[in-house]
Amino acid sequence: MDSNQFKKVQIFIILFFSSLTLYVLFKELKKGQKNLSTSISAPNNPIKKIKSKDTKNVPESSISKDKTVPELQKKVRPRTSLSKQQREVLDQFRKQAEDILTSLPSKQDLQQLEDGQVHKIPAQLLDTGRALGRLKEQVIRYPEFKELQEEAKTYYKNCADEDEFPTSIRSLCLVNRIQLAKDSGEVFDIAPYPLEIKQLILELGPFK
Amino acid sequence: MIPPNCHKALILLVVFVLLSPFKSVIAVGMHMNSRDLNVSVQFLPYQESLLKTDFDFLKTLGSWEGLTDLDRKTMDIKVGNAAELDYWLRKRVQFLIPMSLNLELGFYGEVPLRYYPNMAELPPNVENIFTMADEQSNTLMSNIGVGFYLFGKRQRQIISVNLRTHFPKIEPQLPVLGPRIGIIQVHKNSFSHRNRISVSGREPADRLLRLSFLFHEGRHSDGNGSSLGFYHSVCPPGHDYTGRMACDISSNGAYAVAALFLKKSIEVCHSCTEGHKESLKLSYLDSRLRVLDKSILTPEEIERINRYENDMNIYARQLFAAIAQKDDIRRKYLMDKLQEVNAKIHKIKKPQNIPKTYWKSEPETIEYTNGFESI
Repeated sequence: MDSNQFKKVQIFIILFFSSLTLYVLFKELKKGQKNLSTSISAPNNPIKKIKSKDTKNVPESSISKDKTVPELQKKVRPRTSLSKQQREVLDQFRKQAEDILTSLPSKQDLQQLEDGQVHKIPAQLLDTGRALGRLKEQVIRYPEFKELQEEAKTYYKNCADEDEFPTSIRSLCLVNRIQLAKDSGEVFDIAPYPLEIKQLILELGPFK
Repeated sequence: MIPPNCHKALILLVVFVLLSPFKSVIAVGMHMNSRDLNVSVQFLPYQESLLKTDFDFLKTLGSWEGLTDLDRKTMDIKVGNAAELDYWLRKRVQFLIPMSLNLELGFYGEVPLRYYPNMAELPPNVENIFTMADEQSNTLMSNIGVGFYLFGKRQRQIISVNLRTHFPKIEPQLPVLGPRIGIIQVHKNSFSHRNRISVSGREPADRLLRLSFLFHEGRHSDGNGSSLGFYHSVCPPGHDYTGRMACDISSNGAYAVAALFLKKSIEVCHSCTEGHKESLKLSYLDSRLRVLDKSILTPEEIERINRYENDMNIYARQLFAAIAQKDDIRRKYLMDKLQEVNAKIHKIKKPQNIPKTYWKSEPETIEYTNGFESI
């Protein structure tokens, strides 16, 4: 064998082994790709399992897991739209509250009554009691209806703040305002109210 | 041979023997119910039924809880249960009559009396307070029995009243021997829609309201000398009823009694709706506000009150915070603190050691064992 022939055999051998290596590499690569895609589409995906476990192990955020979706939505963005029924209830409550506030007797009204009428609770105050009773029943009926509760808070505060109203009515409104503040975990300042009213409301035990 | 129903008789006998140690209690109970309530036949049937069933309702009222010494002093009661309240009312309210009808009055015996209890002592401004309520006055209820007694006392005569048109079986000339004669006029408006809490007027809250009126009138059957009849006083400037005879300067007067009855009854009225309770609370506040405090305070007393009021505001703010934090121990502590400060203010405004604050409630009576001694 001359030197030219020897070189040709050498080149052939190198090319043969290079092709073989490339072929094996290509094969391995293909096999790897196939395994990866199979593992992703498998029904009992171990990666998935790990993922969900990891989510559970994530420390609690400000959003509690126990909360339902609507509750979370409420927390995230304030509710701006009410259902038709809620709107009706709220409108009715507002109207009722407004009517009562405008029809409440003043101190002067009571002082103008006849002697016989002021000996016991005057009919005007009993009218007020019945009206405030109807309002209270609405407040109790919809404890979760935030808009209505807020409306009631405003109403009771306006009623308690008005100097012209009889002290008995103002006191009852303040008792209800305190009750709502207490229920919603709010701090309500009673300092601006007259001492007489503060002492009276304590007798009705609104903080119990 | 033992008769077939003998065992029932034996059981009764055993029960009687077992109960014998308590026979004094049974006797007291019987005595307590000895004074009947008489409702005039002149009332319309539904009015008569309402008044009678109000008394039945009183017997079903739960016992009052958390009664303080001052509460006991206000109403002269010990435990505040249904039996005691029923007894209290029956002692002072005996005849309920409609306001629309006039009563026939006369003198019981022709000659004036030499002696009347506490002759020198009459309630203040007595000339202005003897007025008979009539249909036009719109007074819902009025205790006219004490008015008759006071009228007789001033005339040194015993007044007799004829109630036969209302109670056919009663003696024709009923002598008024003390303020506890218990004749109460009831205005037809007491049954009107405006003076009810519910539409029917038969709900527990309606009954409590009417009973509070009767307790108020009941207190007017008490007193002796200057406290006779527990008459009302003029409400001061700034009051809801400024210038009207619609307040009490005593702490145990008719308004205080009605207020206590309402406050305690609201607490135990489990069948009252929250809406109805609002009316009762308003009625309580109305009565409570008519029990007046001391009219003049010294500068030192005012300063002390201001200091306590400031404490009250601070405690109230802290209390709200404790409630928000659901700190029950702190809440209870602050509530006690608030009540403590409130009591201190009350004590300054209405000193409890002055006898004038709590009037004498024992009723005066004319004794007539061997006939009346005349002048």
